Amino acid sequence: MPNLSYADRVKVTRYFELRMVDRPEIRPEWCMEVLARPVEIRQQSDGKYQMWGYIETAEKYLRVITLEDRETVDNAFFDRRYARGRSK
Amino acid sequence: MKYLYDRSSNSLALTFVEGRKYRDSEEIYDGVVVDYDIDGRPYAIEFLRVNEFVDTQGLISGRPVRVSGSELTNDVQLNGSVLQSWRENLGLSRDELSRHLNLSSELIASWEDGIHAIDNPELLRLALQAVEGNIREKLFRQMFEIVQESLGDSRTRSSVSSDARSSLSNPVAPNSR
Repeated sequence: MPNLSYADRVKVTRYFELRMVDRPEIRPEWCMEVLARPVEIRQQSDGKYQMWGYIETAEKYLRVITLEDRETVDNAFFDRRYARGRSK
Repeated sequence: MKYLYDRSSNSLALTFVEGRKYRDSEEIYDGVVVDYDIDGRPYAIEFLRVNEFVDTQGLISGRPVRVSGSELTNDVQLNGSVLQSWRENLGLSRDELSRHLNLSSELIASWEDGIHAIDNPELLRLALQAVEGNIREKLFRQMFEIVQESLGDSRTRSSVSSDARSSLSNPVAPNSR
């Protein structure tokens, strides 16, 4: 399977592309998974959306932050605190 | 050590140690996220809505900026492409560098574009190292102030109740798209 970049799979911001250089463990398909089936969505005060989803493979909750369109991914990280506050 | 600031995303990430293997993150305060490596050591802090926390004036937007770790070591042969890469990593324009060195920006452009060879690379290296020292000192101070400011801010605001904290963001039903 070709090694696809984030941009090949999901709409992303420039910040996201550069930020994920330091979080290469987060796979693009996981972000897509969270966008497709979030367990929770919150809107930030600046209009962006935060979405959470449980990633079975990683056994962690992934938080994905999108722009107001709820499609363009601006950030993603494994959310330790969310995992703690929620029983799977 | 580096920082990544993006004006349009309104985000800032400060990575204190590069090359760590990422494990997970913790939001220590609403909008302030710390990254941990696989050994549980914190190595980066990120501000998701940075303008709520710190003054970003003067930060270079849109690409990572190295605050430490010079590529202008004595064993590197100084030529036009090394000069350009060094300058860009420091976030300097040709005009800015020309002002630091008191040289014309046309001369710097001619070196970087390979039109002219650098006359005295060793002398130039010394001058560039001096410029770099001044810039990095300023960047370090700026980074230190950002961290200090944000930690002070989060300490003050941590007295806010968890109910009030959760009201900062508005829950939305997952299927309300």
